Amino acid sequence: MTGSKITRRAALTSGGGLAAALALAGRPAPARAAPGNIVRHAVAADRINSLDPSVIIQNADANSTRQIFDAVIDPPYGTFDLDPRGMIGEAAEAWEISPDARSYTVKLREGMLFHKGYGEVTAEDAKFTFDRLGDPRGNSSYRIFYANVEEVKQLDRYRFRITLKAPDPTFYATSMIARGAGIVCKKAVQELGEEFRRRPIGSGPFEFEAIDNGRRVILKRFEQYHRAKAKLDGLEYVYMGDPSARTLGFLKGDLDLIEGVRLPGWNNDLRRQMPTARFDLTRPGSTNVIFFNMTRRPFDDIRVRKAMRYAIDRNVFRQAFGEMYGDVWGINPVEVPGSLRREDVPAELRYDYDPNRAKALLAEAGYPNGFAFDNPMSQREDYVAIMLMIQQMLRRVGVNMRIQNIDHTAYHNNCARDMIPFPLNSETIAPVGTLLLARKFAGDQAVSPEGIGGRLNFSHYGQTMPGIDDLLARINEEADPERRIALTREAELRVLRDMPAWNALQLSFVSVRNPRVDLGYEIRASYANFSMWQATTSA
Amino acid sequence: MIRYVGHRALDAVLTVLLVLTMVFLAMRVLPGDPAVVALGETATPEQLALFRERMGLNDPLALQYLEFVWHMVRLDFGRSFITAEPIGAMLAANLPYTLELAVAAMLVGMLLGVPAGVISATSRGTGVDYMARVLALIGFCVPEFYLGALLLIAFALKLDLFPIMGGGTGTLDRLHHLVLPAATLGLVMAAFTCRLTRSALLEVLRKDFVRTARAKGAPRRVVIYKHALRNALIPVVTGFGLYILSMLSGSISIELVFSRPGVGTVLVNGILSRDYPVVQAGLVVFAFFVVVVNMSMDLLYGAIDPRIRTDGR
Repeated sequence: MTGSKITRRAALTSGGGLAAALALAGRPAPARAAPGNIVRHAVAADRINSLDPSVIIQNADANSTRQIFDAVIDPPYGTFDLDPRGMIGEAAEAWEISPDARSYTVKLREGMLFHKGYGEVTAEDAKFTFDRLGDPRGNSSYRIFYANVEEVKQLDRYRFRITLKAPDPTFYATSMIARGAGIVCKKAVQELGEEFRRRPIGSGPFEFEAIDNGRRVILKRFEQYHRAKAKLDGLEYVYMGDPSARTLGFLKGDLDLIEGVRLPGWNNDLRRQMPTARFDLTRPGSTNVIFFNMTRRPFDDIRVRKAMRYAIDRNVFRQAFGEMYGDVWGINPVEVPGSLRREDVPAELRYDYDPNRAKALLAEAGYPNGFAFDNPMSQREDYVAIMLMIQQMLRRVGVNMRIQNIDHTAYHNNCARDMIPFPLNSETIAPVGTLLLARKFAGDQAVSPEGIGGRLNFSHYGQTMPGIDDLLARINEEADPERRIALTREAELRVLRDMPAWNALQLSFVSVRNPRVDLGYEIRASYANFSMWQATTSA
Repeated sequence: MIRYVGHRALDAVLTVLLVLTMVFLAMRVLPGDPAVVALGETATPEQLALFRERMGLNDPLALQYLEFVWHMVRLDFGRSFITAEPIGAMLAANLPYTLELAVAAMLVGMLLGVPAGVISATSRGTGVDYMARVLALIGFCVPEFYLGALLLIAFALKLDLFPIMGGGTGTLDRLHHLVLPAATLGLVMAAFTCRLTRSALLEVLRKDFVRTARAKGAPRRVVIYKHALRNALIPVVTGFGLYILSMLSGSISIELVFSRPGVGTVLVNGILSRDYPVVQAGLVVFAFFVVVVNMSMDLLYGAIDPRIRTDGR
């Protein structure tokens, strides 16, 4: 473990290069276009990992796969509007959910072609795609979302049906939209094997052209795209992990779009340098859930947990992150359909900032002078920023959290092995109310020292104390969306009552765009990977 | 001389073998499961177990070690755990960028640092000396990533003389892309070399043989460059060698700031994602260069000071 104390000074030093870049850059050179009608987009990673949509563990790669592959359906671009009636059929001409919410039948558009002469997209490819996503022996990054699939059946050349083991009226929203569920070409996957990760074949508006030394993906317009052809000639995704380099490249005009930096003040600094820059913020962005490891003292005491919660002032996050900040009153962000709003939460469960109450609760729990604890934490920028703010606020009520800075992989490893007393977990998920609860609060998802993979319940809720497992079981049996929402809200209130963890804030992903690039729609909500199908450029 | 080179070559082989062992063990000691990194947090226990099995991570450590050494000896670096890319190709594509940066920076460092050190030493106590020392001190104190960002802002963003990112394609384009990164590393190295040359030369200038040369009426230029500087070069070469090694690691931050391809970035990504084969191969390549540089330094000592060579040490 690379252990070191993290201090405000250390954090400021680490951001020194970026700060210097922004502070000294001054007015940028006039924006200039990338060569031709091409948009160049810098993403926050150093190397390409995989362009196979079923194996995406690095968000940066999903920018390319979003353009190369068509999903079955997708919410209206720039939104997370999951109303089934409003969904866009990318590959689907029509689709329907059975009344018992156990089967989804899809009719594909006829005449859709795969890139590079791989032939027509058929239901056989769709079946292959979904089987592969749920294959327990494969490398699918989305296996967990397909665990409920009983069977994928090809009905004819263009129709297929997904049958679920248990009813799930929201399956389409997690498992049929663009993210993992881009339809792959069966023949290409079988022919190329592992190479498919670097030579993807889809049916989307842009086709893969080349990878340049693992650091640049070059896409060109697919001339036989089944919907209207894309207006751009091509796209380039440049992998630039260093935020200063991305920022300077953008200011110089070499980059049309960059993935932003989720640090307090970054947006405003960049805006000062380039007032014409367009900022696209996703909602909900990532959720930031902070857990109390209830197997450890003093976090096994609800008074301590509540005291620490009362010590946290939402306004600190709001002021620091500005437009990137989003409220969370329950567990799900407010953008998730059916989530709790402020008025839905009883006053005693809102945990409005109250340091005196925090101190009183600590005294009642036997800690009149507070206490201290060590907490290893990821050195990723957003983790550091959030935890430094929390450290400061906790200090005001006498709780001294000594943060030790470790690399992100080691941090996740330690979380999975139940080694962190007060972990933060940042995650981006589809806005489906049950997802967060089932993944982070179900008893059978509790982590253990053996480090069994895929578990995210770091508080041991439902294991060291009764949790929400009964409600989750009822949700899983429920086919009616309204009743599911009611049960989800009940579960959220119970979590607030027991306080095993709380969702501190939602933090938008930020993209900054040269004004010459028009996406063709406005970003109001979305994953951080936008469709560029309708994008245009001006001189 | 042959014996001397033979000894050094044997040392080099043993060093590389030791490095191989240490690299192998270090990767296994680091917390973090490559299976989780490769498959993501949502991977099921079954998927993780299968991945470990496929990648040989469940084999006994001794067997893994032997396989690793065997593959390295045959220069078979295998494939990345994470991206499934052939590592040999990955390194071959990136190594030229790292080497050209190291060589260019070395040239800048040497061509600026040695003359500046000589001028400073021979003008001791004058304004020129003070200026050279102050500049060297500044160069020595400024972090490379910070200096790189400043140069980028000044020469790429403001004056638009150089590209802001990438390594370039084609000879001229690559040279164009190389100027700022090489200047960044080279300026810091020049500062170091200047200080080293100055102090070594001042030391030698006090020696009796220099006084004798002066007393014999040798011209100042001959005294300084033929007699004094040659004798002052041993510590300079030593420091230079050490600096080249640290520059290899320094190039990692330069690659990030300038978004340049290079082995450093490959290595850092490998470490962060616990991609054992990539890290092992990358470090072996680095170790190889360390050994080559050390050997070159040893041989250079022999060329500068024949007493070292004839001693056979």
